[in-house]
Amino acid sequence: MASLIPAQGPTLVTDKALILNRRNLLAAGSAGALTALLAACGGGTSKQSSGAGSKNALGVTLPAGSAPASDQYYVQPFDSTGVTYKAMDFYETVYSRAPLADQFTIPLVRLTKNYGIVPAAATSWEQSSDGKSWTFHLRKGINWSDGAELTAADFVETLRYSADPKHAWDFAWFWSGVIKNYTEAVAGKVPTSEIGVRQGADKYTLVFESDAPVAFMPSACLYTTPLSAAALHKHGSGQYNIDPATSVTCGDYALKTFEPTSTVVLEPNKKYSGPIKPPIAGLVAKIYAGGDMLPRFQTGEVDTINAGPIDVKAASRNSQLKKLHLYKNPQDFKIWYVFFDVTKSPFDKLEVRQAFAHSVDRDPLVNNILAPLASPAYGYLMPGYPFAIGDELKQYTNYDPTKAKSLLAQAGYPNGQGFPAVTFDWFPNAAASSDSVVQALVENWNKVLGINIKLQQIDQTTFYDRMNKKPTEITMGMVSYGMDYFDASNMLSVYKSNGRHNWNNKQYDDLLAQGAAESDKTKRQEIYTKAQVLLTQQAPAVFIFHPLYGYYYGPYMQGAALTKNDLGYDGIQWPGFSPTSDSMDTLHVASNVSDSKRQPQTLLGS
Amino acid sequence: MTAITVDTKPITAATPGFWRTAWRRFRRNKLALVSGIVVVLILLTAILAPLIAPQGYQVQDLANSLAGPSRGHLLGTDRLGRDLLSRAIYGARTSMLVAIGAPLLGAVIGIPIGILAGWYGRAVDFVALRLFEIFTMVPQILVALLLIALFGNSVGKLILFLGISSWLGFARLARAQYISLRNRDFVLAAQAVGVPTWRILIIHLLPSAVGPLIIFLVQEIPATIFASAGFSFLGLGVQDPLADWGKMLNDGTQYLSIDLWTVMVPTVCIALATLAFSFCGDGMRDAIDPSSRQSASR
Amino acid sequence: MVAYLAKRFLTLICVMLVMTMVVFALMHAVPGGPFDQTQQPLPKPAMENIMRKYGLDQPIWRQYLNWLWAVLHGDFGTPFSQPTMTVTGLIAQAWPATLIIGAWTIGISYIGGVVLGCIAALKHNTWVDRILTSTVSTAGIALPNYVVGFVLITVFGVRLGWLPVGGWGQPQDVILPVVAFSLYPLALMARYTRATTLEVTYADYVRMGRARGLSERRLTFRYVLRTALIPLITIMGPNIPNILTGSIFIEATFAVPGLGSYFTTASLHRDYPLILALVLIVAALWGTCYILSDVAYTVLDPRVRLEGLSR
Repeated sequence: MASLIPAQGPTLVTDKALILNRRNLLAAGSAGALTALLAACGGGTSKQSSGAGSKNALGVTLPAGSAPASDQYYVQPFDSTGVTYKAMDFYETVYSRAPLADQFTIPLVRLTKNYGIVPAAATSWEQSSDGKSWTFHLRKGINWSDGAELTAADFVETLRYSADPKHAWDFAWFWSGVIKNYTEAVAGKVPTSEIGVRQGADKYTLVFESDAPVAFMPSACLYTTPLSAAALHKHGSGQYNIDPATSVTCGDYALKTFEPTSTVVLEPNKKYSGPIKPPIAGLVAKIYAGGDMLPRFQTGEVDTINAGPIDVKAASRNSQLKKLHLYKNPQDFKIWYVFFDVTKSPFDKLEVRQAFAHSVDRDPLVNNILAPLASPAYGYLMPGYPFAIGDELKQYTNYDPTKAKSLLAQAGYPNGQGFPAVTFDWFPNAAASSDSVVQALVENWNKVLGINIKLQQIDQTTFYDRMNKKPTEITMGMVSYGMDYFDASNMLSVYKSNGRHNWNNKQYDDLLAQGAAESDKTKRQEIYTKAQVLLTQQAPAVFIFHPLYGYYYGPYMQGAALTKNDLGYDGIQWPGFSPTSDSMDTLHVASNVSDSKRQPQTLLGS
Repeated sequence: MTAITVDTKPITAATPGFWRTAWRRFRRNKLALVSGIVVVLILLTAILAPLIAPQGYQVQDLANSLAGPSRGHLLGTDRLGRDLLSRAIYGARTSMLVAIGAPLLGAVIGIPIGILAGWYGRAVDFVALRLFEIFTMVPQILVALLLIALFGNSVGKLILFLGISSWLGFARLARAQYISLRNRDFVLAAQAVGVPTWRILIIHLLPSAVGPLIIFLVQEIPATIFASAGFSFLGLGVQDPLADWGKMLNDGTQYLSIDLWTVMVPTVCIALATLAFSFCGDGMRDAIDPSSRQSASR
Repeated sequence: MVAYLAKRFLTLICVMLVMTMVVFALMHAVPGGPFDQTQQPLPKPAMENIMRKYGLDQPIWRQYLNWLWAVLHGDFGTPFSQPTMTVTGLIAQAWPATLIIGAWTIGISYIGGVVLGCIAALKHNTWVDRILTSTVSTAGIALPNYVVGFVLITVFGVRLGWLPVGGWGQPQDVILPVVAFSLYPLALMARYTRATTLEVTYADYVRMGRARGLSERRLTFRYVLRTALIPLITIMGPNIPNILTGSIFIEATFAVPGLGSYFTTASLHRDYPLILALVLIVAALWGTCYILSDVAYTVLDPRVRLEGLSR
């Protein structure tokens, strides 16, 4: 075990302030303990470089080519600039979840790497004949770490908690209109016990009820990561999961350290009794307040990094990194688009909007600025997303300057004459290179259409505040949307009436309502095709690009989780963590880790 | 000491005035003179930018993103393929406008306040000091955010904002100078003779006080450029695609790992301007206030 | 003296009070709030629930009074961005790193700057002076610290591997951030010291001392330096609170978990309790700095009396 025993954290600490830094002590201690824990439970010795066939700390048999059990942990970096970390659970807060959140629990369903839905906590589910309710049958024998069994009550209590006006959940729109009485409960008009979630025939049966049939319920149930009903009652909120002393888990992992400014560490849950069997037994999140991630990856501080176009270019100049494979996948199938205020001149004219749609030359943008991590967007839904269509939409959004000019002339602004001064609001987002993208777009439009759009940069908070106001205060702006669950009803609902934007189209709303209720897949595709055509042709927005997320993994991170899926995307697919992604059952550290620069666990929290 | 001679010739011309002498002293200082010429050159570049620059500052060429120097682009290109040389030239315009305009505005506001606070003391000084303190403590970012929200954006508003932020430094310096100067003998003498206060403040005292103020003004120039770069973070100030050295520097740091030109071009420009203004400022201070006369002031 | 100090500190507290009111109003006037809605917007009742939970639905004057009352009891609230800690806890955790870097920076840049400036002034117009003035001091002023930081990381961290590329916890982590951060104040200090020392060196009373045979060294330390330091206090004193509260650029570049970044992010995220606490810290630092520098004047310049004692 000699090589794996960690050095004791920061050495030769002479400065008092450093010694007394609680964070360091905790981190160093935890790092040491974690490694010891893994080693003790693993049972393998470091002399062998292979752990294949042995069991990790969770009792999972390691696949062929694995490193020993003591190496089966995964270190991920997180950039904390601009984000807040409040809790570890989706139902406590969505926007402020800490790294490694939602791993103390198991949702009803999981996703495969080809985005299919498979059982997780639920073994099977069925829709009622009138379509207005769904029944999920829970697996028996999944226990919480406090001894109680996972039952329908946990799901029911969690969802009621999310609707509680006193809890003031920041994602309350998610179940509004899906679960019966949810909106009313949030508004305080009915008690939360009346929302359409209840135990069924027995404690292993869960029933969802809605006012209208909901075809996509299983997809939406990906994020039914329950809190422990007992702990919820005891502590009054889901915050019990940020303190190792009070945290209750029924998942593979338990909370070891929660230091939201430096590190979050999850250790294996020794009391685990569920169905999910990941080879990776320990998870470490290293939280950085900015700075360049590439050097941290090169020095082995972390096992993976997210790479943007600049990182990819930088890597291509580095002799070692050049050889590394760049994994690419769409994660949450995001789209970046430019939206208009369709109630204000000149964007109240359809021809103007369509002229804009036909005058964007996406290829130079995507191939020069964003390459290799973007694809041009001709429709709202990214190809590969359920019910997305592609080629049928090109006729409405392809680059055709002649057509664009004639459309503009039809609208009454030949060659841009008389076109009012327009301000294009945008906020900086380095990941999307938004500063370069908007400048390219504006220059493009000004040249092709002969108009004068002015750019106005504002900070993100002000931008969203202005955009979300009713009536909206942004005439023209660029924004993104990434899905919340895998169904066309989710992405397309962004353009529902009285939603995020002010394009209100009854036909579109009706189509969406039909699609949500329709169970037959072919019929749904027809409905959503119509909806997408309508949305694209009416052009309340111009679709610019779909980003791809780039990842580098240490060569010792292996498994089917990383290989290409049916769409040709590789790397860990969305959502990318064990309770929700079944491919994580294959991710493991391979025996070539001993050849790599991977730093021992002790440098946690430095 | 030279022997005292009596000039027997009739006086036919006025002795060279204060400013004439200052100019002569400035001219003799080689470094200051060269710097002065560089300053003039920079200002000329700024004024004549459209005539000098090889291309427009916003002409994009996406295929040539972040390219190094070449025939068509002597200093390389930025992320959008725009010519860095042209952007540097046009950048002189915006940068000089802001970097000179804002400190001047600050000086115009701050120096009189400082003078009054320093000279009159007591209640006036008390109020002024409290004003200084409050102004220092209010976070500039909030003010900037509010201003953008209320009044929108433009280079003019940026100058206004930065100028108002910098008046403090001038006021405090001027106040400090005048506090120490007001007790001097020659001041008392002038008062005894009946020289009006405003004359004392401006004509007698200002030349003595002006030394550190000039240095401060000159040092504020690069500081203003960096400040405007910092605020471009928030969207206050120079909007894309307008070229500005500070903004170019700020934007260029994203690409440091793959391209040095986007950062080096504005850095060199800023450094050149800083050097030139600094030495020029030193020279001006030496000329106006020759070190043989002045002893340290508060 | 004691009465003077007491009066000054009392005034400072009043000023701070006024300033909290100004900042409170300012914060709430800026559009946007602390709550994200970057996916679909929340339905109105949900938004109201959130506002009610954090007390933001009350009229502003009442929110201010609530906050003031809590502060007087030592409770600065919980930051919206890290509600798992209190504001005091957050600051206590983040500030030490910043203070360490700040203290080293002040030490190196101020003392180093005075030394370099003096040397340049005493060796006025020789090659030593020219190099110091043109290269060191202008490079320090003209180069922004994030560029310097990047160069340092690339050279010493990545290429040579001598020093860590960032992070915090080991003694070596302090070196690069301090170097990057001190360059600007060092250069500034050197320039000003040189300028003021030059002025004094040619003053009458110093020339008199020279004529009477005092050694250059005695002159420098007992007379020139003391007088030269006076305007320096005015000019460089205000920088001290700035340095002690950190730089977001330095902390981001070197991944130092300090307080510097919070000044920017708190405002950007409308984290009201945190903004107010940070403002109070800045105010206390500045106020104390002004008071101390005024006192320092009396020590250094015998002609100056403390305000109110004589004209």
